Order: sequence, then structure tokens, then C-alpha cells
Amino acid sequence: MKTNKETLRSAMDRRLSFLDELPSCRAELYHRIAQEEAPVMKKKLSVGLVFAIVLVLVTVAALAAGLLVSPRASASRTADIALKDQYGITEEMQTFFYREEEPLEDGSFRVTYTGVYGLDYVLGTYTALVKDGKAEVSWSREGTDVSGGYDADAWGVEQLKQMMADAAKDDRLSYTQKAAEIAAKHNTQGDDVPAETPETVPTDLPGNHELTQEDIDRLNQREASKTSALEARKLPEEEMIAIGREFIISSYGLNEEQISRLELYTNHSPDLEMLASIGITEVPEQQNSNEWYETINGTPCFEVEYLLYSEGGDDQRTEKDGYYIVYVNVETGAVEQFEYNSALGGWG
Amino acid sequence: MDQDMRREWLDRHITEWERPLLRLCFAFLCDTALAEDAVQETFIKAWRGCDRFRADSSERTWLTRIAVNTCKDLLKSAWVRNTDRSVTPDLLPEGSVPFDERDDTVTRAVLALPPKLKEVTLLHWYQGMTLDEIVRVLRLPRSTVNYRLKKAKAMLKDKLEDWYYEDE
Repeated sequence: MKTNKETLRSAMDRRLSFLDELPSCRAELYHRIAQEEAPVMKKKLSVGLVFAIVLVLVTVAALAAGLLVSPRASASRTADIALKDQYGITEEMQTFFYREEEPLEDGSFRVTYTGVYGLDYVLGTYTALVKDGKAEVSWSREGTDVSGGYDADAWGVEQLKQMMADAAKDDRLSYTQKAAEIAAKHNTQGDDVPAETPETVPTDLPGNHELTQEDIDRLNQREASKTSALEARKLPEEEMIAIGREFIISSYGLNEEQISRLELYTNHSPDLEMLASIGITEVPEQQNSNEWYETINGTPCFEVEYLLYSEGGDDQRTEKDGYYIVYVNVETGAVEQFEYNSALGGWG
Repeated sequence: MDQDMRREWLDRHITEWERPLLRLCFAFLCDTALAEDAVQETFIKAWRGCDRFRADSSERTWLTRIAVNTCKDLLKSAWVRNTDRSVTPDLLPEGSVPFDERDDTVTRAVLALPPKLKEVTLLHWYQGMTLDEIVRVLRLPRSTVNYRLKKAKAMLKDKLEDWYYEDE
């Protein structure tokens, strides 16, 4: 009699045999490898690496001065640091918030951090007013009692620390459920208590790709945004990638060990995100760097994404691990915007 | 290893491991396009690191570890997490090989396991890995892997009552 192991294996092999009909990835792989082996890229990256290591030895402010950084991006970074200094909310904790920047008439910026969906009631909103390189931060839940862990009506840095620890253990329900319950008590999101562990199920099945007019409009807008940025490009992509990398290293103060693990993430694409959001996941040429062009707030940009990760899952993660995205102006090389996502608990 | 040797190394590994890894990644991700991406990324990472590979673990363990971590990274990425992926698993496409109802039931039961239990189930019962190999792949304590395997087994036994019988 066959053992369960053999039965399960042969049953799954037969049931998943549709995968055998897919073309091999060999050709695509060789294409990517040929690009990586190209000598010009190697030279650029090694120069970038040496430069980055030197940069880490200097102060963040001096480093930032070495790069062209837009007022908006500069204000964001100033606000990030002020939030950490004034409230103890580190960059990793900031992933539980959506950050938005708003230019004000006097040339200053208002930067807001709102708790991600479902956590917005308990986490509230932090507002940083940034002027002349300085930021003053205030909190919408100021004065509310934050003691009592997840039972508190408002959550501050202590709860955020616990959320990070829980998220690292892949236990997000402990705080999302509690947050929803507290919000429900105050009638803000009463119907939104998260369910138990959702099942992961297939999505790329035939027949679920019907586009609405709204989807088509969004796709057309995305195409126009990309084309416009591509046409405006004046800098080589290698240079924009190096700028993005240097910005990440200098702004976030990565050490040599972290730099050695920093990896250009080539699998991303705004197109892919757009198509995935409307149910299309079979996207050709998603590695094509043409897909990384985007017009943001009227500025043509190239999206550089780097990944810093530790092997072994969330429980093995180390400080500053996560996704770093830098939007580089394709004409001037200025850093226009940036994002960091610790990939722990939220996606703000 | 020079460039030609690395190409040859990669070619051999694609021939041997592409299909098994694709099935494994699909079972993790339940998404054909993502699984193809994961396999490609796995080979790229392996190719980049093939000089560093030491024979203290088998190449299968090593490649599987890279594939598992790549799948986890993909699941963590913002666009995956922001996308509603709730399509029922009974809509799996038809395969080239005939299958019966039991094959379908078994596969769906495994795909529907909670992620952490599915992970150890796939490595142990599908990939045929030993406890020690799974410990190396997932870098988890032996006791944790053991616990998850027992829990997964209990869940599968419950769901697959009609055909279940004890391992040797």
C-alpha cells in the first residue's frame, strides 16, 4: 500500500499538471542574466557601491546635500525623523501609517501620517509642519490615555512596538481585531472586524478579466503617465538606479552589512500593480524597466525599488529590512519622493 | 566559476528543477503568473549565489529554501497584499494528465490549509523532505516544525477521512 506521502504527491502532481503546459522560463532567464553580465552595468554598480560605503561614514545631512532632493521629499524625510525624535515612532513603525505631503502657500509643507485602514481610529493622525528644515509634530489623539496595551482607546509607541513584535510572528489578528473592536465601540468602523486567517486561493483563472470603463480609463491614464515620463527621460537608467540606491543608503543610514544585502528589486511595476488591482495577473514583460516610468504630481519619474531582506521569514528579520522605493526625476536626477515599507504590518 | 561554467550550471538546474519548483511555488502562491515569477527569481538568486553554494546541504534543499523565501517575499509585496485574491480553489484549470475526484479533493485540501501549515505540508508530504531538511529550509526550531506537521496532519486527516491511512 502506498503511504500518504506518495499518495499526496501523485495526487497533486496529476491535479497540477496544467502547469506543465506553461513555457519554460529558460529564455527569459538567459535574457536577464545577459543584462546582469553586461560590463557597463557592473562598472556602474561597483562605483555606486564604493561611493555608498564612503557616504555612510558621513552625516545624513551632508549626504543628502550630495544628492539633489526635491523640497517635497526633503520635507518628508525631515518629518519622518521628527516623528521618530518627538514621539519615538521609528521608520519601521511608520509603515503602519499612510504618509501624505501637502505644500503650503508659504513654501512650507504639511506632512500627515494617518493610521492604515482599520488602525486609523486607534493610531490617529500625526501632523508635521515642516519649515526651513525643521518640523513640529502634533498628534490627533494627544491627551488620550494610551496605557493598557491593546485595550487602550488610543495607541502610541508602546502599542506600536507590540504590533511590530506580533507582526514579526505573523500574528496580525491580535491587533487588527482589537483595533476594529475599539473603533466599533465608537461607531467608526463597526462592521470591519477582520475574519480569521483568510485562505489563499488562485486568482489567475480564465474568465475573470472583464474590464469596466473605469478600469479602462485607469489603464489609459497609466499609459499616458508612463509614456510622458519615458519621452522626458534625459538620464541613463543605471544612473537613476545609482541615485536611488545612494539616497536609500544615506537617508536611512544603512551600515555595510545592510548594504551588502541591499538588492535591486526588478519584479515590480506600476503596470503590474494596476493590472493586478483589476484582476489581471498574466502580464507580459513585467521585468521591462520601461514599466518603471511614471508621472507623479506632473513630474516625470523613474521608480527605483530596493529590497533589504533576511532569509528565513518574518521572525528572522533584522532592523531596517523592507522595501525602499525612490522616485527619481528623469530629467534632473532629483529625488522627488520616496517610500519605505517594513513589510511587517501595514502597507502605508 | 567562470561565465560558461555558471551558464552550464544554471542550464542543468533549470532542466532538473524548473517543473518541481513551479508546482511548489504555485501551491504556495495559488497564482500561475506569480509562481512563474517566483521560479524565475529563484534561479536568478541561485545563479548569483552559485559560487557561494557549499555542499553542507543538498542543492534541492538550497533551491527550495530560496524558492520558499521568494514566495514569501512576493506575498509580502504591496501590490499582492492590496489585491483581493479570493477566488475559490475549485476553479483550478484542467490539466494535461487525467485526474480523479480524489486527486482534486487532496489538492484542494492542501491548498486551503493555513499558510504555515501548508508550508510544512508541501515540504514534507509533497517534496518528501525530512524533518531536518525542513528545519534547514525554514530555519525554524525542530519542535516548531514538528508541531506544525502534526497539526497539518490532523487537519488533513479530518478533511480527507475517506482515503486517509497512517504513514509507515
